[in-house]
Amino acid sequence: MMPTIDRRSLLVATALAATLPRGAAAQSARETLTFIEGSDFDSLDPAISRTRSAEILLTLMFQRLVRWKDTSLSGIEGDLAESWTTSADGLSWTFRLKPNQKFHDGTAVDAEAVKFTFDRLRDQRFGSPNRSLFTVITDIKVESPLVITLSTAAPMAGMLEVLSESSASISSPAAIQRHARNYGRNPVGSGPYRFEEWTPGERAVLAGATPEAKFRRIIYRPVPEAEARLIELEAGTADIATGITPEATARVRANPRLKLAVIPSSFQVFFELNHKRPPFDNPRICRAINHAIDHKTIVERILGGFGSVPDAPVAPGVQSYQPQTPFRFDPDFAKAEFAAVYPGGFNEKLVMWTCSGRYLKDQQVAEAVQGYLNAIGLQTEFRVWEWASYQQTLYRRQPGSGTGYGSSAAHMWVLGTSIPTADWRLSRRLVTGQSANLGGYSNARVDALLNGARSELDPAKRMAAYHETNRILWTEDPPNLFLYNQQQIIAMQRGIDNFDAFAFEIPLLNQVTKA
Amino acid sequence: MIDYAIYRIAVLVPTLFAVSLAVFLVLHLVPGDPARNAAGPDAEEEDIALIREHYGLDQPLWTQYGTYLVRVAQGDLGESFRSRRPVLDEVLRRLPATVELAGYAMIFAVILGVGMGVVASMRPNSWLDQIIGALSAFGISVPVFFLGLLLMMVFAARLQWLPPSGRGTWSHLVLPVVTLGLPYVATFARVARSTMLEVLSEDYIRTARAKGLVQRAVIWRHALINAAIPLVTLLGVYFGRLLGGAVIVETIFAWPGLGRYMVDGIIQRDLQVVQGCILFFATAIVVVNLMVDLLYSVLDPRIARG
Repeated sequence: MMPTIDRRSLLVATALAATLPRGAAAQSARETLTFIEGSDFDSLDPAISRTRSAEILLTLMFQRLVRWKDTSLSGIEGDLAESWTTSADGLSWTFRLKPNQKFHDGTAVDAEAVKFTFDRLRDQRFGSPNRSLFTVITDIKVESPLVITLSTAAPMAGMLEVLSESSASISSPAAIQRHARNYGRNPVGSGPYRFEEWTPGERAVLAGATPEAKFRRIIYRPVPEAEARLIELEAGTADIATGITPEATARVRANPRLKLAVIPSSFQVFFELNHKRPPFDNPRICRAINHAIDHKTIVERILGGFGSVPDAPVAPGVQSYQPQTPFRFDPDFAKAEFAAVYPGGFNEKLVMWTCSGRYLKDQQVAEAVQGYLNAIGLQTEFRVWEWASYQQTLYRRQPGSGTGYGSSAAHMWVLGTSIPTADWRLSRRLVTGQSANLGGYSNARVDALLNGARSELDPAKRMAAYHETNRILWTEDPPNLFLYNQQQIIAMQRGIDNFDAFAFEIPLLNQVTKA
Repeated sequence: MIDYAIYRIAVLVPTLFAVSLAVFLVLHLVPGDPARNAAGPDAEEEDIALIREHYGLDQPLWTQYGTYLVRVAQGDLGESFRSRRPVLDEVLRRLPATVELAGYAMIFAVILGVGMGVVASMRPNSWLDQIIGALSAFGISVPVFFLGLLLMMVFAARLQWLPPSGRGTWSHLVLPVVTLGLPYVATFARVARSTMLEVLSEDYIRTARAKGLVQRAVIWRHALINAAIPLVTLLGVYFGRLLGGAVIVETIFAWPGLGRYMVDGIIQRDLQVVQGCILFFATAIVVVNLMVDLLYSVLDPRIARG
């Protein structure tokens, strides 16, 4: 018998059918997060990648032994590791893994996988660009399937920080063996999202893999043009876009469907001072010059308000950051200090170098600084460099011909850094004779504090050493003429909530929710 | 004809050799240490030394060039500093996107441009001719990045008819193809108009008309074929420019093609990628110009004989 259908129920059925796909589409839109960034990435192999954009995805796909507890880097918590202990001599670290953890390919996350990952990172023939971070580990021993011990030649207080780097993400050994050179296109970790596809330059798709994942899919799209990123948001084809220009923020604010997040960045830009030549061989002058420039005006006028006045030798969001009193703008004081040290006046020309376009408005800021220095009666000579030759010149160890390590022909040069860990950020630039100590900075107390902190296993004592270092760097013997701290400008749809990002510009996409 | 083709192909070899040398020298003689650039500003000296050694950058320049040449001859464009993947693989992976974009842009430019030019030439100095002339002037003078962002704002942000950027469906193609093709529509329209005007005044056209051929046959069968040679020349010359335009258009519209791969390579100072891309582009342009020359001799057999 044929079922009879009356017109009314047919209408209802048609109406239902018409709404269904739309309803389904709306639901899938809620289940997908589309994130756009300026740059594509190099590789999704944690051992090889060195792009920040890849790090955003690695954080979602992989776990590490340990990770940062929060975006202010207040401490470190277990990720794959359940607990850890340090030997009395501080030379070995033993980690116990949480039981029953699996990679996305179904293989077990065990001590062997951890050893495999670190051995690969340390292998000279493999040549990981992140290798030098891990060469401090001299021996790796699997104690049991869930227990592993890492040994170092000297006590290494920063071990946990190294292990929470994205390059320390634990990969599935089975997947690495299967894909070999193509592993960077087929990464397998154990994080909340698993890798689904990546078409370079077009998009990468991650799929939710654990109950922790809030979205069915996260789509990453590299859109190089800042204007195009904003249009994607306006058109509703993306949820979150980073790298919004200060000029475009007014448009975001005026759009009722969008909102703006301005988050501190660990990026600080400064003039590094040459401590091997007068006048900056005298700490008194290094302090004075920080009073000669009006930081507030630089941030407000040149950076359009998108930056902050430095209040410490590192930016907020860097481990060990503690706010101090910002330098007061006092050109008369600066002038008097110069006159006190050089009663006949400082008659040499101050050679100032800057790169252009590398940091936010770098050249304009440097030019403003030149104006401030001229205003206190100094003679200055200004040179703008192309980044590649600038970098090469600054790092070349060759006295006389415009070079680094305190032998530079310049008195001061613009640089910036975003490194968020205290030891890496401070030691390499400031300890006497270190590779990145371009200004020839040398302060016995700073050396003692930083070298001591490196092997100080008591976290409280170690942080106290960094805090004391920062105080010296700010109030007694500044290594730099501090300029400004950068900010991250991120725009998103109004329905996006719980957005946060590390100061080193890694957004925490896993905690984001979408209405 | 065959001799001519063989001769032209033989000339290709020294041309490409010269290109490879020029690209190699330019990229290796620019200031900056490629290994340091590849390692990034926060790298340790030890890592930089490792990269230098791994890529043979510690060797003398001529040794490097020799090794490079041998590898290129074997179809190996080197390995990216960044992704550690063979550059040729990456180039081939992105090639379809660029061919798609440039191909459609060329088709769009030829059909619309020649069509407009022919229509304009049929009624010279009419109001239609004037409008087409004005449109061409706009098309030639408007900068690509401005046009791209303008189209994106209107059709993606305001009207929301088309997706702003990316690749996927045919609708993703529209804006980049129009942006890339529009300047060439204008050029083709102008050239088609002037050569058609010239051809239409030739004796054989008068003869064709005298035979009683309809206008359509006169235009399409007699006039346009003879007006085609300058257009084909333009096609060859503009192919290179089109690839150059693709670099900009791909960046604006986040199109995953070769041009953007090269720009990313430049930004990240990935020497091998830039070198490989330029060599690939140069080869493509040389080969297309060869094909254009061979096509002449088909269109006008006197060229090969001469």
